[in-house]
Amino acid sequence: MKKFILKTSALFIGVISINLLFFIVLSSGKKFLQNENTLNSFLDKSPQNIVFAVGGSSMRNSFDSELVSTELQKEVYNTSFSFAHNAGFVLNYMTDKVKEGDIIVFGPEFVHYYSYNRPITISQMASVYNSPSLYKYLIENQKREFVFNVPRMNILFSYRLLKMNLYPNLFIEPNYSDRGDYMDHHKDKKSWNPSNKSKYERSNMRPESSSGFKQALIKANKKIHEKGASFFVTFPPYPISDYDTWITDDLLNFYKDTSIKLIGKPNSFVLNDTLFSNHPYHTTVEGRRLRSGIFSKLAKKELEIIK
Amino acid sequence: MLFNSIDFLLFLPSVFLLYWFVFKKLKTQNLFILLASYLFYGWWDWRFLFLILASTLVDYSIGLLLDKTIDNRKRKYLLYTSLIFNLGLLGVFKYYNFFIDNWIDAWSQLGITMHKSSLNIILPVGISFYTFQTLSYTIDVFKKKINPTKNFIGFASFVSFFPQLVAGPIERASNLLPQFFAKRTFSYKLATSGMRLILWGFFKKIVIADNCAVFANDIFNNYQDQSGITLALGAVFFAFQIYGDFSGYSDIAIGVARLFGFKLMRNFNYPYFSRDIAEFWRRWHISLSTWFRDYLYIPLGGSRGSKYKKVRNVLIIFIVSGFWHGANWTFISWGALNAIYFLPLLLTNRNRKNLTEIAKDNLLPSLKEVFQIIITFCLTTFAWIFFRAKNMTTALDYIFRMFSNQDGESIGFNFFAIIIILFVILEWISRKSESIQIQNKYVRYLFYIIIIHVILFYSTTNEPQSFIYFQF
Repeated sequence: MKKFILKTSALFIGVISINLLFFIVLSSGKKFLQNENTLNSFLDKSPQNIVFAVGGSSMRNSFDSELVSTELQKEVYNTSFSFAHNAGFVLNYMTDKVKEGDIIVFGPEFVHYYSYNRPITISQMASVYNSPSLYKYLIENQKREFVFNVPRMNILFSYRLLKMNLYPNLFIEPNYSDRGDYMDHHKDKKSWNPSNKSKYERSNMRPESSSGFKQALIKANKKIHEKGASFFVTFPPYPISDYDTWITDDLLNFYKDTSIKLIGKPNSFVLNDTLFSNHPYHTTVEGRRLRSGIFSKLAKKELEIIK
Repeated sequence: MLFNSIDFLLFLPSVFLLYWFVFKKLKTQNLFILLASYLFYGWWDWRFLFLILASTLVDYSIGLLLDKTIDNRKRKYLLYTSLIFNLGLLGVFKYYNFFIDNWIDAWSQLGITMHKSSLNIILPVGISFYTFQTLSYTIDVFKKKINPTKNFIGFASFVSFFPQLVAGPIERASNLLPQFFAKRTFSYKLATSGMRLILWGFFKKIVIADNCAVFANDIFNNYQDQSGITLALGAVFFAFQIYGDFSGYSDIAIGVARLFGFKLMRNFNYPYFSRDIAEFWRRWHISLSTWFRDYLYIPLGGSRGSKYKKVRNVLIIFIVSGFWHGANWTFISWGALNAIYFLPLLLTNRNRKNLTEIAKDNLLPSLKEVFQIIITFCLTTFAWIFFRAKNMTTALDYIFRMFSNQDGESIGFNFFAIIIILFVILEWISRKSESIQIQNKYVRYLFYIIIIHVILFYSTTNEPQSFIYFQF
């Protein structure tokens, strides 16, 4: 019995040790995801009194910080991750990084309102694996998921490292501007169109909005205010043919009994279908300009109130 | 509680340690196994426990009454009571809706519309397995093959023994019940062989079955849009899915039982290396095949008697076996098709031709054997289409399109195909034993570590899938 328990335990400890070793070696030095590394280091040394546009890829790909900066006459930086990152994670992250006098403009995507406790995604795991200091920002159920996924990520990142060494030019990350905006729109193919069956957001939507997400927003709003900064929520750009009108009422109702300030309404950034490229949240350059213009007009009014 | 869940990952070591270190006496060990088994089963739905308890009480009491009764007529009544009760449970919980739907359909053919009284019956997990296990006990006591037990805890533990409760192997009382009454001592050899089976079972389930499920589900759910070759591949993926799923479960069940000092019967013996259908059925779901052989086929006369009787008996056993799997015409057709495959072998006395081990003294099979294996695999895979399809119309349409669709979507070569090929090679290498045997200690541990990592990789890649045979 003793021998059996010892051997079995040794095997399991061996497996855990191998994985821990791989994790430590591969995650040290931030070898992967250069754009996220830049984002993290920027946030750590950013000046005060700036506007952070925060969200998923609807903010990352479809927001013109330069234009908004000119319009608002404030330093604006786009610090968005991808859509696949849980909103709770993004909020925890920003709440920790924000400084006195900063303005956070958070642009969750519609699906975030309906599924807060989603399983951790591969891109979110990759972010945390690449920078383990981000682990603390994961929401509770995702923390456990991440731990169980470490062996998988070890294998995936070992494979990636191998390929990176064999083919140095294989992984070319997209270009981002100095303000953090995605700049490779010209490479995006027009692969989304209204006839797509996906109905991307609707398929992920639940009948009721998530109370967990609401609590996370309220908590973030409170914490950011305690730090002497401001918190706003805005809405993503969305193609007109894919937009369900009930979303407007549902989301306005969502914010009715909170003190969270909004920039625009859920339908403020509903644009013509032709202004979207490969995803119903990814605008073309023209779509990005239009969305940012609308945003600037609406934001000016709100920022006046803060002054 | 699923074997491939975190709950079970915590449950198993806890039960193992308490069993060997705290409850050392036989009686307390049996009681502990019973409670652990009820916890395991009640994890799905605590209401299921009443059903298993009722089944246990009925067959325990009938067993004792059979022992006390000498009158043959009374003994027969007691046996019928057990049969009616156990098959009645199955009838109500598994087949009620099937019979009602078919009854209504039959009348509607005559232009008479009947309305179904809606009964939302939940199918209790594993009901087909434990009712057959308790039935075998009563039949064996009736036939005086075994003596009934007076030990209720031991009997209840035998009925609900958690490793094999929900998907078998369907144990015979003559094999498993005595093990509850003999002092169990920990055997290092048995436990390590159990761990090997558990590991290989998880590999089959999580890596082979769950990945094949992704492809098979996609192809079967969208079969109208697929090319003929893709549809054929869909059936092959399902063949591997169901094998990995069910034999994986059996391996885990047998392995877990060994950790507690129990030896369960073998349920799969590399069925896809069979050279004909008769051999396939000696290697696939052995505990069910032998159950039907012993309690249905032989009492009906088996392969003795006129040709008519032989054909009748084979058709009955295969169709009942199909129906056992589920209340759907697709399962019945699957059984009937296997009977059609089997009958020519029986009628030409070739059903026991391939009793020897395949490629016994050789590394590779002969060309003739390869040809036989491929033919048998194609036949079984073709029959799986009925097993997997939602209804008969879909099954027939799927088959029609498989042979007629030139155009449609095709799936490309996938990395996963390499894993399947490696799996087949590993299965071939280990065909002479229950799992792969590696003599060199270092190579063996390296192999374990690789297998564990592949399991860990895929366990987080796919959503945990329930075992297919839980629905039966």
